[in-house]
Amino acid sequence: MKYRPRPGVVRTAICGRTVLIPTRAAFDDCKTVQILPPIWAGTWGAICAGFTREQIVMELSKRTKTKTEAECADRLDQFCRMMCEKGFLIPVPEETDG
Amino acid sequence: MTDFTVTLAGRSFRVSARYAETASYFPAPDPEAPLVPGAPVSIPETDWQEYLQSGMEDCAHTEYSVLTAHCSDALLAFDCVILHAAALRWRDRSWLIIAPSGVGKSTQTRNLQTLLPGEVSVICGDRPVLVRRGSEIWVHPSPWNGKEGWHGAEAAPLGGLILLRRGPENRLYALREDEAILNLYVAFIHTSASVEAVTKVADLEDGLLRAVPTWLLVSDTVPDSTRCLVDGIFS
Repeated sequence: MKYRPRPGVVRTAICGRTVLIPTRAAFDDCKTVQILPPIWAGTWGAICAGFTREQIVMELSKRTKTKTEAECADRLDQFCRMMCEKGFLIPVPEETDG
Repeated sequence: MTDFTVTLAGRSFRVSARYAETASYFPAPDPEAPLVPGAPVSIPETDWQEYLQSGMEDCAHTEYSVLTAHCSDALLAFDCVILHAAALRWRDRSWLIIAPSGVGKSTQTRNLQTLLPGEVSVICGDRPVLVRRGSEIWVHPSPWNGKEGWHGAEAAPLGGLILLRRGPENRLYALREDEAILNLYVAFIHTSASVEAVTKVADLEDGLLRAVPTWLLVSDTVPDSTRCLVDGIFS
């Protein structure tokens, strides 16, 4: 599963923290302002850039150092689910052959 | 439509309103304030219908109230924004008490004036204009002074932010800049109409939090919680 940011969600920085803020265009689905912890701020950028899940997991695993790839994959999935529930991300079904 | 002029933080804006009576809620414009060129500030029909569908009454008072967000949008180009807060003046500095409606901003204001007689005045009771001048933030009056109608004090440079919350204790906490981000952002009044506008508000918030200290006042009983403010800040 891939994800893309919901149109109308702005990523900005306030006092050194990455903050996601919806514009009116996103209000119907996304009603809150969200501060991203530093590790997920980087992940958000990777998601927006269209990196694959495997690429993001590998990068997370390098950055966290203390977690295995499986643990990172699990945490990434939880993060993406949460961000979808809050309306910041939209799942994009991956194309399949045939 | 009726056109009139509103002065906010030293600039005059043309406003186009549905109701002629809306103009009566605003003071006379400052003849010395430069008039901002361009289209007048107005509430688009789609926005107006949304406000009515949310239950607001179709009248001049509603129009006066919701014009705040559209005026705030117009102010963004000048490094200004309107905030939902009680703006006080004490010892030549302004102090903002920030909380949703009903939490107790007016009560704290009243108590501060009782505990510090003659020292505390009100710049704006409900929605002051914040103006960024370099690294300093100034707080200006506005036509939106809340149900008490408190106003009258002159603009002053900002001294600090006080986030107010009800809770099980009376205590004042000093906050780090990043601890105040979410509660402060929702107090900015604007329509969130564009990426540029939202980015600008975030930038103003960044400047605000870096410029002055921020406290959280948890209030259980008054005037005990107000005494925490006096002991911690206003002394």
